[in-house]
Amino acid sequence: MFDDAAISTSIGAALRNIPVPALPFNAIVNKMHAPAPPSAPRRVGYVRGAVAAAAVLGILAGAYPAKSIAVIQSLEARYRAALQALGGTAPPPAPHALVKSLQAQRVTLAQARSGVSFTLVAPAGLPGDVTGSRTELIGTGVYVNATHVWRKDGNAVTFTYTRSGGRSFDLLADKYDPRNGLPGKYMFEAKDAGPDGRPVLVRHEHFAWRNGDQIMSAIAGDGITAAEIRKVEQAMNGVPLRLRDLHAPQSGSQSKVYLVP
Amino acid sequence: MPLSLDEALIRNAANGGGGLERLLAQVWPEAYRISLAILRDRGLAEDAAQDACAALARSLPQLKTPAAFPAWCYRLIVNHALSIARRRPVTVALDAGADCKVSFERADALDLYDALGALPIAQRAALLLHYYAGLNSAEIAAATSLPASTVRFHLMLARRALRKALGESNVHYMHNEEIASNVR
Repeated sequence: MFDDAAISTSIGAALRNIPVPALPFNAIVNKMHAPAPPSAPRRVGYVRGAVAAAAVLGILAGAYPAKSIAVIQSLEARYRAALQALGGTAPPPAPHALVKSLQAQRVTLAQARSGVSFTLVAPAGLPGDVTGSRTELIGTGVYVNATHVWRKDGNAVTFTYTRSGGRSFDLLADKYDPRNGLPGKYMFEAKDAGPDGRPVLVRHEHFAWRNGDQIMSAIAGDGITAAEIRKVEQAMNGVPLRLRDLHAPQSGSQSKVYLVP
Repeated sequence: MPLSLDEALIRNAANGGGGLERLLAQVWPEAYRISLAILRDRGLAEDAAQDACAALARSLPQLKTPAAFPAWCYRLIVNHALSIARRRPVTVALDAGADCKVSFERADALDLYDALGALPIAQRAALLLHYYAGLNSAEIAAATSLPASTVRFHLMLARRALRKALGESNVHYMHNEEIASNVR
């Protein structure tokens, strides 16, 4: 019987038979210190995994304000576990003082426009069964790897929509900054650890498009499908951004996270 | 998982303690063999293995848990091989067989290597990560940016193809539930 164990054994035997050239240590060291090719973004893309967490956090914090810090820590822990499982490195936890300063504020569209440093383009082409909406101005934090320092960054805007079946979804608008590199094609959410102790990762498709100096992003899931997100993007006449295939953030100089206390 | 390294060596290399060359000496054969099994071209395999080792050396200080090293290392190796395959599709000229042939002492190992080579590249990578590196389907999905269900499907197709190529008579086609239980 050609079972799993037999396949493993056979593949192991076949590969071990392959003759290997000598370790080209000097060539590897040269490559290690060589500058990255120009097409490869040197700076890390937005850590969008935290966006989904931020959306959940916003809802939870509204219901349980006293628990908001604990919720943040729990979600951060999951997010960090996901990154670690993917081979990436999450920034250290943001200081509580910074987290507390990142107040989410329910606003009107006009207030949101005056609270950001980019030209805010409101979502359009929403699913037909949207029953309610909430617009929030949220603070963002940036961790600069080069200096190992967290600092407060500009405001972003979340549009949260409720729809039939108790579902909801979020669209996030932020200032487009090409230095942050390409957003990732997928977002990974770490669930509780499986029986082997490793976090169970759930992959979500991620979309991002530009309108002028705004970047809007959405994550497909139970609340909104990929096709529905594409309709929003088209209705807004957005320019789709090329997305990174890589799942984990590349090593770089800056990571951006969104925290909604 | 064939790559089993001393945690002290990993820590030493990560801290710039001079253990990098010793660490790479152990990683290099794995990197080269897996790259060759995926790319089927010695030159490309050497490039991919060098790129993977360079990326590993660069990122090593960021690895917080030495226990995570083997899976992380295999992800790097396979991703660099796949990246090279995407940039430069592997084509074998009619007269260029020498560059992708490997000599084996055992005929069954050669059969298996050839059967592996006949698989589409994504199936090949999934098969190697699962059966050689010991990663589960979620880890392979994370490493290759494919849905876990697609990885399980690739593995099922790869197993079928291997059985067929190797003349396995006792072929049985597995249902999804069976795949899920076999490939966590």
